[in-house]
Amino acid sequence: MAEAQDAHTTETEAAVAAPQEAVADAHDAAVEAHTEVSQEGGLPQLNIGTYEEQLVWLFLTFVVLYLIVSRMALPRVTKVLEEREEKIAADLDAAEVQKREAEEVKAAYEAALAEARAKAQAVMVEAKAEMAAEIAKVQADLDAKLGEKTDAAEKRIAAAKAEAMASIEGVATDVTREIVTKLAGEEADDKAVAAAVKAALETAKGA
Amino acid sequence: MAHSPLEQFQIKPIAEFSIGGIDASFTNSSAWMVAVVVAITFFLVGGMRKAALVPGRWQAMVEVFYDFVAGMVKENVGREGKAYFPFIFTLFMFILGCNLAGMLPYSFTVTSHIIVNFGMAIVVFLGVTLIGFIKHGAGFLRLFAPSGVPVWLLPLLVVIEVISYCTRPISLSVRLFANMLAGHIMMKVFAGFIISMSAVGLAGYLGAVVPFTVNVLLTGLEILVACLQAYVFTILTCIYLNDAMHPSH
Repeated sequence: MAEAQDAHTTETEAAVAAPQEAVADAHDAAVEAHTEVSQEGGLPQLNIGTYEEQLVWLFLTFVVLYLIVSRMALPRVTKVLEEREEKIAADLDAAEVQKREAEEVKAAYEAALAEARAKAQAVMVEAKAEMAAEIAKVQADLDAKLGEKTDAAEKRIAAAKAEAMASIEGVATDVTREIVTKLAGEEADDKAVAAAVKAALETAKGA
Repeated sequence: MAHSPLEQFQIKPIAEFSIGGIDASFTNSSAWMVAVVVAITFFLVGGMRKAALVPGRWQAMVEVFYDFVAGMVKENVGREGKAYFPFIFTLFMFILGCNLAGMLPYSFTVTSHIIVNFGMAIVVFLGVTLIGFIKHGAGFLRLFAPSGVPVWLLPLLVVIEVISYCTRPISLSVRLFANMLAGHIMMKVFAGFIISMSAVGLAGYLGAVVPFTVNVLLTGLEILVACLQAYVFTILTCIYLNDAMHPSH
C-alpha cells in the first residue's frame, strides 16, 4: 500500500516535473520498475520476486522453531506425561497390593472367626457331654444309694417279718396250749400243739 | 488501489539485504514468521516452565496441543511415526500460529502466500518420498500398484496413482493458500462495504450494520478455517507419511 502510494505520488510528481531534470527521470524509472515487479499479475502472491526472501525466512524460522520444539518444548511435555503415567501406574499397583493385603487380612479374620466359632461349638458340645456325664453319674450314684437303702430296708423288713413270724409262732403255740389246757382241762402235749400251730401258720402263709 | 482487498497481501521490505547472492530481505512476512515462532516458543516453554505432575491451566493447554498432534500421528502413522512427531508438531503449530496471527487486525497472513505453503508442502513431499524409498527401497513403488487389482487395469491405474502422488504438494499448498486468500479477501471486502456505506449518509450508516454483522460472523468462520486448515495440512502430512511407512494398501 505504502509502496503503491509512493509510486503513485512519485509518478504524478514526475509527470508534473517531467521536463525538469534527467535525474528525476532516472529515479522515476527505478521506482516504476520496482512497482511493476510488485504488481505483476495483480495478486501479490504471484510476484515471483518475493519468493526467494519468503523461502529463506520460512526456512530460518521453521528450523529455529523445529529446534526449539524438538529440543526444549516436547521433551519436557513427554517427560511430564511419562512421569504422570508412571505415577498413576505405581499408584494403581500400590492400590492393587493394598487391596490384596486387605483381602488377605479379611480371609485371615474370617478364618479366625470360623475357628473361634468351631472352638466355641466344641467347648459347648464338650461341656454338654461333661454335664450329661456328671448328671448320669450323680443319677447312677443316687440310684445305687437308693437301691442299697431299699435293699437294706427290705432286708430289715424281711428280718423283722421273720422275727415277727417266729415270735408269732411261739406266742401262738403258748396261746394254743393255754386255750387247749383251759378248754380240755388237761395238760396239752407241747409237741402236738407246736406242730398244729406250725401247720396252721403254713396254710395262713400259703393263703 | 487504495482500498484494494489484495493490498493486505503485499510483501513490504523492512530491511533489504542478501546473503551470498540470495535475497534474504527482512519483510513484513518475515517479521510475522519470527513473531509466530516467538509466540509459539513463549506458549510452549512458558507453559512447561513448572512441568508439574498436576498441570495448571497453561500447562494443560500445552498438553492438549501435544496430545492432539500425538494422537493424530499415532492414529494415522502408528508407533513408527513417533520419530517424526516433532516435525509434525512444529508444522501444525507453525501453520496454526500463522493462520491465527493473520486474524489479528493490521497483521499479515504468512500462509496466504502460496510460496510459503508450497515450501512446506514440497519438504513434506520430498521427505515422505525419501523415507518411503529408504524404508522399503523399490518396494515403495507398490504404493502405485494397489493389490487386488486386475492386471489389465494396472497400466492405467499406475499412471493415475503416480499423477495423484505427484500433485500432492500442489494440492496441499493450494488448499491452504486458497482458504486463507479467499477468507481474508472476503473480510476485507465486507469491511470496505462498511466504510463506503457509512460515508453515504444516515441511511448508509444504518445500512452498514449488515456488512458489519456479516464481518463479525466471517471473523468467527475464519478463525474456524484457520484452525481447520492447519489440521488438514497436518493430517494429510500424517497420511502421506503413513503411505511411506506402509506402502502396501
